[in-house]
Amino acid sequence: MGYEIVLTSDRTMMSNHHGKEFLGFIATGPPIAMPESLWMMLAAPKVKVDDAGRPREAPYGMRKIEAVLRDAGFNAAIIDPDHIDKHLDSMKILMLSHHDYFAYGPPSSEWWSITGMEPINRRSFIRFMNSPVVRKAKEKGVKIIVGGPAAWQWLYELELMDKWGVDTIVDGEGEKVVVELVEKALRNEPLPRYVYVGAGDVPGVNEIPVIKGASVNGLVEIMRGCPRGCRFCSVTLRPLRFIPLEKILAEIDVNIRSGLKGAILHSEDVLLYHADGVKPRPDPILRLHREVLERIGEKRSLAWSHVSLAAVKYAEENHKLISKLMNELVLNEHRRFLGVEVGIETGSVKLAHEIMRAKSSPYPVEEWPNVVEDAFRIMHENKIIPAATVILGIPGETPDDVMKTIELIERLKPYRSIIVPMFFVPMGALKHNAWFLRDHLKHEHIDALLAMYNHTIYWAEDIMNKFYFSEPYHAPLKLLLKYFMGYVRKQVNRYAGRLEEIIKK
Amino acid sequence: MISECGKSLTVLVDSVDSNVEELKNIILRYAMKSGGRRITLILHKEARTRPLELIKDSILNNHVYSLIIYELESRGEALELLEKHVCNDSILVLTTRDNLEELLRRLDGKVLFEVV
Repeated sequence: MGYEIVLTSDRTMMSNHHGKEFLGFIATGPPIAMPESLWMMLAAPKVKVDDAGRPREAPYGMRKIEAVLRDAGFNAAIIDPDHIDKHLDSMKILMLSHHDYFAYGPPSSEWWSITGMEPINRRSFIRFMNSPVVRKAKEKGVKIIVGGPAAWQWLYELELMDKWGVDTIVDGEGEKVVVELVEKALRNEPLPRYVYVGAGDVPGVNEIPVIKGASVNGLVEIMRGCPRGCRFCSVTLRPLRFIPLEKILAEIDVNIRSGLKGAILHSEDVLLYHADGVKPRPDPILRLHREVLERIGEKRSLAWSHVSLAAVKYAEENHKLISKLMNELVLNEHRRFLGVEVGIETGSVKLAHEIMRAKSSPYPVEEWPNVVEDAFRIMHENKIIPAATVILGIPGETPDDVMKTIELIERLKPYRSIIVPMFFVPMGALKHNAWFLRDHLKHEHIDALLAMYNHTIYWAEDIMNKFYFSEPYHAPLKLLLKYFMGYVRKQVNRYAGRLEEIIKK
Repeated sequence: MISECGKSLTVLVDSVDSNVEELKNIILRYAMKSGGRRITLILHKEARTRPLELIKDSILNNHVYSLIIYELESRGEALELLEKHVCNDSILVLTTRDNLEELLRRLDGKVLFEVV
């Protein structure tokens, strides 16, 4: 039986990245020191599918839309991009989602800017849209609806929207829009070209469905929105909603039944689950982890998508919550670390005051560099491994601000972590500002890039050897990554001192 | 959400080559008056106004208002869509002096007109 509504994306999205979420980021770069096919194999291997081409695990946002459509009685399913030809006869609507359709988001845009080469995610998506099966679908009159976190990027690619016959862009949370759009498409009524879901139209917790199939690497949402109001971020402009524990557990069960080996708790700030404003409360956090860990058992991995550094510091200093969580609940002989993404963004108090005043709350913004270092120390002591971001080129940034960031990165040297640079992308309340591109790089930015590179190279091998790739079947991957790191190290050493000139060439 | 009634503003842009900045200001003025948080724009290609090109820089896309933009092939299709619109919410037509009389006849008295 074919599906009427097919949800899909290109391979860089439809992959479990070898069960290692962080490897997915490799798809944000161009292939360096190896052929594109090998780079793709490293970043985004194919996933297991059933006879209909339905992947065992698929991106979480697409799983939500699939669930809404199926709950509404539609014949809809997520299909792997290599298998959509099986549904060409039945398909009436093709729905696409992506984190970074055209590589305009961070960090793709800065790898592109630095190397001058198109990132893999963009190449892969363009290849998919130009593929015979998508072209054939369009010729047959299939409606194409695009959405997901990178929907905004289509506004910069209106010619491609016309060329590929994209009917509708949905920008924002799709749960309350998608059924109506699909009904209109099936009735052959005019579709809107663009839908932006404002704060008043986002779904309430009762309107957010439980996923029907497994999500990539067991990712499960525990909250939506964020109260911190950082000006460069779009998530923070959405209302804050806590997903009820029973729904979280139901989704964990869906993932376990599909045979997944871990769970990732997703939130902009996991420690703020049922918090008192920005102050974490031990009871809901401990209960959440106790119940989730009971479900996933001793052998499956656990990760957090994001946490704020201020919440880590506050939780530990006031409630010993981090050490309690890690030592009493999370860590065991199978689970030897917990990975998470965190945002440093800047080491400059002046800049922090301007763009992310509440990121340090409940601590004063003047304390931001100390909050960062304290949180890194707490995480290091408790085997939480952060992948941190730093934004270069924030509007209003001065050389002194960048120097403050470099100083902070140097203070973080003793703490196990990786630090990734991001070039400023105009989003959130700062969306009217200019993009930061390699032409804007100054000497101090090169120094900051080198400081982050040195920090990351220093810790990456330790993380790979002791924590990240501990299984024997990871050996080829580990070898490939070591080769890549060795290549980068050699190139950086070779050209050190001339980097500014080379990047700007 | 797309066809939901209640405190929404629907705007038909029927004036040729409209200045998007000017449109934006008029639309927001009426949106504030309507007190709602949802704006539906109906455009047609004969009017040669492509706000999608500017929407990325527009304050309409400001995370407060939900925005629904239709871009139809012809003026006839755009008018047909507006006539099918079942809500009695605020409806605004931005048109030229030449088209005003015809539209006043065709659309009933619930519609607000602004000549641009």
